[in-house]
Amino acid sequence: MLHRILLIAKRDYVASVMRKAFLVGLVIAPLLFGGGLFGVALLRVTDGNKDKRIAILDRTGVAAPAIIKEADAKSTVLASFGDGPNIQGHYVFENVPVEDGNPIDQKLALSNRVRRGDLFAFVEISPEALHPAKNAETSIALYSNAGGIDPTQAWLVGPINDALRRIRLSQLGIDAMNSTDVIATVPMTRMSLISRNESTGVIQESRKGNLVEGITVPFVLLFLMMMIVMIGAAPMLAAVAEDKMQRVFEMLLASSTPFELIMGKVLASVGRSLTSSIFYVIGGVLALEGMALAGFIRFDLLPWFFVYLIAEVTMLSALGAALGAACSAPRDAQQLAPMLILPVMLPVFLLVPLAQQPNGAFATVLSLIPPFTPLVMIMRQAMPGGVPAWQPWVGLIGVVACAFLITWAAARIFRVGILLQGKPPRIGEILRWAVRG
Amino acid sequence: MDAVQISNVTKTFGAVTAVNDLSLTIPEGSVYGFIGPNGSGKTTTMRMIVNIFYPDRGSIRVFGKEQSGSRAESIGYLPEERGLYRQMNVQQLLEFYGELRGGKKVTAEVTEWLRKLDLAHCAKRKVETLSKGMSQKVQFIATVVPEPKLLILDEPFTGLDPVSADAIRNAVLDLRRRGSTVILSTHDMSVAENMCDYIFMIFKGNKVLDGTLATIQDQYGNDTIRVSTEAGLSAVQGLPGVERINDLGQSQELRMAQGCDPQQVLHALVARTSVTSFSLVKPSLHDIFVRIAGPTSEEGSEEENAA
Repeated sequence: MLHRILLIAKRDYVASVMRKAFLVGLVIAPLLFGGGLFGVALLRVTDGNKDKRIAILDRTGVAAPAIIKEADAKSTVLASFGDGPNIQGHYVFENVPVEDGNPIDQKLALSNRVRRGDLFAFVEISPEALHPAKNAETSIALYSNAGGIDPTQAWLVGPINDALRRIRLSQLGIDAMNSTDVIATVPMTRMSLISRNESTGVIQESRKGNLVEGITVPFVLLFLMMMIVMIGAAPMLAAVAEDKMQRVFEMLLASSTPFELIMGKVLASVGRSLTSSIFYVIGGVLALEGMALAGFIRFDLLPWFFVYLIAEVTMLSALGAALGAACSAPRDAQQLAPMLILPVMLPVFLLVPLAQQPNGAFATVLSLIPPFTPLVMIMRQAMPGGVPAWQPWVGLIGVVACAFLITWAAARIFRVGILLQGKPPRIGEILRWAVRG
Repeated sequence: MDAVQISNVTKTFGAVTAVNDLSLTIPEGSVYGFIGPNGSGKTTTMRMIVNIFYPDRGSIRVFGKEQSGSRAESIGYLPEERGLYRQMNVQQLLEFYGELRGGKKVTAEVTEWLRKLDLAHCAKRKVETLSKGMSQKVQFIATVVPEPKLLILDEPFTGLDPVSADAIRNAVLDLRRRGSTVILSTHDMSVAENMCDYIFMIFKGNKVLDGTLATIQDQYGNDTIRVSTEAGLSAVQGLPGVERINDLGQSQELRMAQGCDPQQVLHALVARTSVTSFSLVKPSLHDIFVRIAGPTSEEGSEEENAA
């Protein structure tokens, strides 16, 4: 039995990794997944580093100079940060005197300047901004046609409010216009929890969190696993459906059982995933070492990463083989494909709530539901706070049990479906095959 | 020992009964022909012997051993629906199939079979580059390497040119001579008559014929006349006592009604034309097949009446 499984696995593995599509995919996939980040960086370099001219329409009559002074100071500090190119660009300010007449006419004229590209945006400071009433939402308004995630609004809030505070303090008789201390904002540093090593009893110091450690590493691990799982497991559905349509299975079924056949195919998928993961992991480690960023590599998580990867690929490729066996035409495979990629895509769709509360109830429960465990748990483990020690083990037990169950059910579906032709079965019928065999 | 013993086997697919209470014994070393119209249950029966389908009821023993979900390396199976991994080369493909069934390397056997079926020059070619006939021969080799004790061939000659068909036929008979038991299904009645020791016919899931050609023909009596005349078909039309005419071109087969005297038919025929040959023969397998499965079949009519 084992000999037949290994023989089928070897044939499928060699057939798939020797294809040009696999080799090209190995290079293309990270470019596609990383393409968004690359595009953003490219845009920031080519477009984001231009100076942005912002007009201040100050209806208080006193705030504009202070605002421009604060904003210029902030802009100068950022521009001088680091040795690299100034990818943020400068904000350049223009104090526009308030004209008499209907205010809407002046705002229309300024809007037209924005449309022409003469201005990036303009800010209207209402008279109430100095002493705002409750719920005064429109005391300060930014008029712009930039995209929804443009950082200008967030950037400007600080300098404008700092300036307004200085003016208010001056009006109270406190000379705050030239003092940095009075309104200085003290930053808050994010630290990891202090913990005691269970075996040695040594208390481990808290570590200072940073963006790379807190967000980038977990996200990279999640996307890396998603990419490798997709490379390993996703082609299974279409491959089995194609082989079924080419009638190659009946002869194989005369020499091997459906379970041997499906296990061989699953093993080939795992092999394919491990091949690509070794390629990416070694490549990633070498690249980070080359950039002197090797300190961010979480070597302690690599065993978990590979164990979860194998379990996830096993589950999804067995499911893919079962669904492929139920297909009678290429369009059937297309219709069933979302079922296969859902366990991989859902954690990505839920990335923001998961990242905000990695140890909240939602993230914890999701990471213990087997099809989602590998991606969600590895991301949670990589977060600075980590996870309680029992959770990865419980998740792993669930994943392994689920992988066995799905493979067993998939073999039953495969046996019934693989020789059926004609109308594709409904989901209920496929589930019946799994139960009754 | 019997190679295959099928006992009261029934297989249904939803509301359709593909095989109904079938019992069949296939002696070791014989060539057993399965005939029957499309959809009658031949392939389902073969798939159950190979253990691809499991019977709903009844049991199947192969060389005395109950089929139990495992795969027997002693069975070589050539399915009707042919398909091979198109991207593999011929030698690698055959070695893969051979090792999968036999559990050991079969390089030498593959090389020998490729030579025997005149495919040695194709050993390094990809399957997708082969002609249909070549592909069928390759698939046949995949079935017989390593040499099986039981060889099951589902319509092995379909689509083959006469030269390729002869090569396969000779190979099958050679395997039989070396001790293999052969089960083959065919729509070609002459193949069944000439190659098979026993013939089994299944119709609408039920066994309707089983035995040697002679015993089957005996069941249908000497009610057939084969004639050749100068006038051909027109001379035999409307002859008294003739129930059915099967035109073979140069000759005609006439089936007589029950109680009809062949001498009366001969007299009537001589009165119409010059008769060059006239012989009383047993019905051909083709004729028997048509009697059973034709549009006016007796079994079909009986079933319809019963319904």
